Amino acid sequence: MKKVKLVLENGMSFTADNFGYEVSRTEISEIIFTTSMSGYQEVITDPSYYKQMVVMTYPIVGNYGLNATDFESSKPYLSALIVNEYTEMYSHADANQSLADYLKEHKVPGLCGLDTRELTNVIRNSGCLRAIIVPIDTEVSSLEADLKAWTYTNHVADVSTKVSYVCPGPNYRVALIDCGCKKHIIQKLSKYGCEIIVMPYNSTSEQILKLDADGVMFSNGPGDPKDVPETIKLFKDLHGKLPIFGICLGHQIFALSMGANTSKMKFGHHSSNHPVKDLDLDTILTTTQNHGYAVDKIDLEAHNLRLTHVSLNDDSVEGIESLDKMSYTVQFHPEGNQGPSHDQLFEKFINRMKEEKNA
Amino acid sequence: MPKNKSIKKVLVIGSGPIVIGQAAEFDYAGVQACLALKEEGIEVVLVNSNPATIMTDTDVADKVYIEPLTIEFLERVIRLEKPDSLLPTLGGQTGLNLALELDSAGILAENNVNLIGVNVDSINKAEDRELFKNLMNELELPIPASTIANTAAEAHAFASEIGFPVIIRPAFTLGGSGGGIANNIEELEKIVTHGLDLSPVTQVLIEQSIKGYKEIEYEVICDNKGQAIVVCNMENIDPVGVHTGDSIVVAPSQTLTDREYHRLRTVSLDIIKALGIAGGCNVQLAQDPNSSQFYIIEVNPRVSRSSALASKATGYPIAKISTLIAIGYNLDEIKNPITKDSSAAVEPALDYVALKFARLPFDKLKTNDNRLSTQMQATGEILAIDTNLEAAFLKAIRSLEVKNKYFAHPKFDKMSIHELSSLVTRATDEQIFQMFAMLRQGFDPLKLAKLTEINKFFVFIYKHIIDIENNLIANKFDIEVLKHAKKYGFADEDIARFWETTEAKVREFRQTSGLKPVYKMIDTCAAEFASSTSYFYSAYASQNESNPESDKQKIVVLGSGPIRIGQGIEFDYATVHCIKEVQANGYEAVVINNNPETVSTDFALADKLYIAPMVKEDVLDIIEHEKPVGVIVQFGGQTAINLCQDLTDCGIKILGTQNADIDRVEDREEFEAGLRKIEVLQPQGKIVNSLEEATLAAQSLEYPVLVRPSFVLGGEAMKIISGEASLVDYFENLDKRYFDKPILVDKYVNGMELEVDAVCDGSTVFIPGLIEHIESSGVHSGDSMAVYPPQRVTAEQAAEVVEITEKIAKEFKVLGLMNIQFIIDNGKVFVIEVNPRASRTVPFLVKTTKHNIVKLATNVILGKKLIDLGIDTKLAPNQKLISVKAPVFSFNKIHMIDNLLGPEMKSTGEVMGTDISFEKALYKAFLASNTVISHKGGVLLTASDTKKASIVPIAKLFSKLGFELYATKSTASYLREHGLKPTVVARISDDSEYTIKDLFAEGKLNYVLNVISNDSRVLADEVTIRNIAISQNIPCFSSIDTVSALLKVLVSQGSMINAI
Ligand SMILES: Nc1ncnc2c1ncn2[C@@H]1O[C@H](COP(=O)(O)OP(=O)(O)O)[C@@H](O)[C@H]1O
Ligand SMILES: Nc1ncnc2c1ncn2[C@@H]1O[C@H](COP(=O)(O)OP(=O)(O)O)[C@@H](O)[C@H]1O
Ligand SMILES: [Mg+2]
Ligand SMILES: [Mg+2]
Repeated sequence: MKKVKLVLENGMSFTADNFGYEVSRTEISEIIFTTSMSGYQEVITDPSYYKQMVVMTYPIVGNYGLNATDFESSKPYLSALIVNEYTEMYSHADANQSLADYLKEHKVPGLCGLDTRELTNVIRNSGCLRAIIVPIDTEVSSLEADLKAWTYTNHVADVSTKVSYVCPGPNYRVALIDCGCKKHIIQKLSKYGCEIIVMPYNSTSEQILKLDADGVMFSNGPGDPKDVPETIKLFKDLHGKLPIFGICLGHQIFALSMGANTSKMKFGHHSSNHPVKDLDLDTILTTTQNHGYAVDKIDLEAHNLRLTHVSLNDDSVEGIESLDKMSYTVQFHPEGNQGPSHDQLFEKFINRMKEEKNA
Repeated sequence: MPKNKSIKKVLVIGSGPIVIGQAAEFDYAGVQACLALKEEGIEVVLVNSNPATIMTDTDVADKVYIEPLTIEFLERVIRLEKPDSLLPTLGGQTGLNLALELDSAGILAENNVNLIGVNVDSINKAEDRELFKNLMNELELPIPASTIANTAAEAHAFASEIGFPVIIRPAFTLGGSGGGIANNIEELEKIVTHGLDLSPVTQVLIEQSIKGYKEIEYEVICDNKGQAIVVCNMENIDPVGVHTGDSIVVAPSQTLTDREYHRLRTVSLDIIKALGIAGGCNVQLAQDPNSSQFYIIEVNPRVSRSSALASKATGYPIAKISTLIAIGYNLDEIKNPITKDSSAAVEPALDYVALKFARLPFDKLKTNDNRLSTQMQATGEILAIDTNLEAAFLKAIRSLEVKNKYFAHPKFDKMSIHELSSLVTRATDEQIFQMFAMLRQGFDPLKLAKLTEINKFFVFIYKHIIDIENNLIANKFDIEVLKHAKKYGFADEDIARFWETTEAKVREFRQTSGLKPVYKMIDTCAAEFASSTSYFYSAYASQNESNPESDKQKIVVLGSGPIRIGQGIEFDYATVHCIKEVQANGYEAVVINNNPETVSTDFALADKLYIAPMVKEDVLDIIEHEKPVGVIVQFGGQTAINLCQDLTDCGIKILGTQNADIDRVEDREEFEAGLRKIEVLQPQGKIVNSLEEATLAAQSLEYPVLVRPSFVLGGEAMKIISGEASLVDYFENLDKRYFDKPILVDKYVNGMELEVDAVCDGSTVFIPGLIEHIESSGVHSGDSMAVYPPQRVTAEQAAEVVEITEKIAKEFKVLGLMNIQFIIDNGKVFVIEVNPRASRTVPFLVKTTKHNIVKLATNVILGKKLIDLGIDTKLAPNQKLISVKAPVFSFNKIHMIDNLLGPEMKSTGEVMGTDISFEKALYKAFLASNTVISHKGGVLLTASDTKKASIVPIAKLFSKLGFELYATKSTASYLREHGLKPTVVARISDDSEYTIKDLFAEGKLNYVLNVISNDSRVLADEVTIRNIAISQNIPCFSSIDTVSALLKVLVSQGSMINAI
């Protein structure tokens, strides 16, 4: 394993071993942490982590290798995986590859052998930072300016599908707007027998309406929702015409399309243990979350929105519904994998489509 | 819903004495519960029979009853106290069962007491096998196939239907004793026959075996609205087939994919919701390592041993939250007490691994079968935490306080792969050493994983440890190699061995290279939220989170490590009180301990808590980091005392009795010299090195003598020898390892044994009371019954005891607590032992005399004088009430262990009975120790030749009370000669139609007396008799004195009738 240096925009640096792909210098990206204790295979292939370096706070990673079924997409999207301790000698009956081999194959660096709790404390205290991985002997000061200057706004365009495609199913037809969709959202809809037509993030409402779909799903995805005005417009144009369900980035896009606002969070929510209160059912859901932006809580009513879910940790908005009940979205990931799933939110979508069809 | 306003007074039932399977974890849970209730303004009434618990302190509950845990006594408490609610889920299986009994007897309804935290329906659904099966079927969850068999043939039929192996569990035996796993027909026959014998209803449960699956546990918590979270999941490194209490367990699970983790998580949550439990609950599951098949093993609808472990492993106080839920709160209304900021509904996220090792009792309870199986045998456990598993394993073995502090074992390391291969397939407490021995010899880890059914993931961890070991051997004093080894948990002491140097040299090399551990915080949330808990573990990493700065002066208090026979919960009791008193004196208390079950490791107690091995390096590193004004060692049992020398050598200030003086007490020759100087009598003794010397010594001392190896604890391998033949026997059978050190031969003084715990401030002593043993000398003080105040001690004798205590305190410069054991024989007072520390009897004395001597001792250690603490007598006046302490054993948990009492301690816990007369107190003590007291029935008598005379008076009294006497042939004829008419009964091994076994089967026996001299050869027959008695909970005595005490009780209750 080669030693490398991880440099943060605040000037801090960490020496680590690279068990993944050897690269002399990575691109700049954001560094965030997730507290999920399992599910590294899902994390590395979740498109929402595009242009992010992900620190796993759970210290031992790689234990059960990688299997054929738990991918969230066809390739890894994150820019580096950072762990305390990497396990090469994995053990699982379903495993067919080690984490290191997979990262190498897909040209993603994997860092280990550093104090990940220290790194996590830094991110928690200063908010998410820009970071870069460079050769061990690089001067940190030479990187500062570049790091501070870096921005990126093309996340969704990079990860969304370029062409539409169909996942056949016997029941309702769902147009899925792909902003960087996790495979498990599609699988969940399929489980309910939906026929899913996956559409690019910049489709027009005419294109969608032409599909004669029973409902529309706006997926999760990376980056700032304000970077995709075309998708916001799409939501606005479709709202009220057929049932819409949105997850994560799809949720933020919905809020913006209704005139509400979103803001960048300090270090975001990335974990699978966040308690969310379902205000309608008056119950707590333990949820998986992965977002760096959140919908502002003020004046939701003024924008014809109603708060349906709220975070028990920081009181942030976790779910909204339009007062006409045509669209509803959640900030967390109800599809599960990794993390717990909340099927009732999908069932609601199916029922909404049924109602509309019968009406 | 906020707090339920109708709850004003709650009854909490404790778990009773410490037994295998039910230990200090319920004191930890109970204390949390009581304090949480009090914080809410609720009045708490507590009942427990175990005096050695913090929960029975009067500042924990408003009203404390130390009474037998039977429904009769509980009913009395209920009628007297009129609680409106009963919280039954924190007192282990004992508390839960009692709550059920109270309910079904109608007592709760009659007295308007509500069960809170659980309802009877849900307990039944979880505990009743049939109902549980139905519920699982309803939820469509898989459980192993099972059936009930009343004959061997039925068992056989079922086994051939579902295939071998099968699990056999006898019905209604105590603690499920007599069960096992059968791999073939022969084994099935054997276990079933034995199981049917042991079962009072001649019934066994046969279950499909899922041995070899991954055993996974989920600790879940559910509130009144059905909102449930998982606090922690744990993976047992030993696969299904080894009880979770005996397994090596790691939190969180290591080899489950996220999909598997969440499948089992969802199932666990579904079960707790379906059961309708409001509070904590433990779900055990089995996951096939080769497919997606899983099974539910069992559900414990209450706080358990695993929840204590999970609480300490995550920082989430399960018992406290469960209690708040029981009084009406819901998860979203409770804040996480650790972060104080996040919600209690957040499932903890770990950023370290927590490893539990079980402390098994095979070093004390000699059995030829140390296999681990479906019946728990461990007495205690330790927790080791680090950011990698290798380090957690190495810390664990250092914490366990067994002979080997590293994964090297002289015996196994010498064996060939061939020999080891056949041994290693059996799960035992030695298996891990065998595995390391094989890996050290280059054995393939994959093959080893197959042989042991231990997941290869863990075998690779062991292999990695061996790799680092080899690297160390090849690279002496290489700083990079050292850094690597330290990160993975190697101790300086181990490294010194590989580098063929001393530990001090390694430490020096390490420290000059600037290599030292940092301390990381346990915060329930993996640093996602800022948190200020002072709960730490060490790691060789970059950032330190334990700030040593403080405005107060600090004192380090050392805990006592894992609970094992000879060092139990009593030392935790003392440690906790010391911590509180240190704080009350304005210091910051820093605690070091590794026992996850205890109150002392409750992160809410001390100002700072470190989970660490109690060995020199780890303790010293913490002390150097914290820079306390001193260290208190005398409350942490022998564990802490043993560190005293090393700490003193390193210039650390010991508060209390100094190391040099402790040494003088523990060194036999210096101790003898000291006693001679102050003219205190001691049984004569000789130090010998061979059988020849021993024979001469015994001749000059005159038999009987007491023989034991030196430097052992709890009377290990100690025997009373009555003649030369037995002496030869003893030497022949003594484990070779004892011969490294001299053997001690003492004159056996037969007399009344007394015990004293005293506080000494350097000039005066204070004795809160004398404790008199009920059995005469020869039964270990931990195993004997005892009474306070003494019943037979004269005023002169008491005065002499006080005088001797004073002399000893002065001669050995005791500062703080000291324990002395005396024998009074023919009016002469002998000292047999001095322990310069808190002892087992301290909590009993605190509870009975009302003098908190731990508090006093701590103040004295901190520089105060007894007189200034309001103490102006040497011996406190006796209390009016009489209290009897009775030992409790866990024999039914260990395979075929011999339960004869002797100078070697065997009990695991104790109870106390208090009343206005000695007989009444005795009665309560017997009851509380679960001795079934019968006023009629049959008594089986067997005695070895030298003891026959001693049983005659007892036999006569039994006969006079109308009992039927049964005796084996020679005992019977002896009794006949003395005018009694016992029925002769054939020994089990006799070729006879009707034997003792049949007597048991027909339920004719109520007491078994098996009085044999300590050195007589153990007969297989007698062991079997004792085992059957134990498994059917028939009182079985080996000491005349205990039986006499029992007869006193019977007579005092009016059992004796006389014609006029
Ligand atoms: N069907 C089975 N096959 C093999 N082992 C089993 C089976 N059921 C239980 N065990 C083992 O026995 C242990 C004890 O069983 P359990 O039902 O949990 O009883 P307890 O109440 O003593 O905890 C478990 O921890 C598990 O390792
Ligand atoms: N010389 C002796 N004569 C008679 N009994 C003794 C003698 N020495 C020890 N014993 C008995 O053995 C028990 C254990 O011995 P002790 O020295 O107290 O060992 P431990 O260190 O295990 O407490 C005592 O409680 C006492 O009953
Ligand atoms: Mg169990
Ligand atoms: Mg003793």
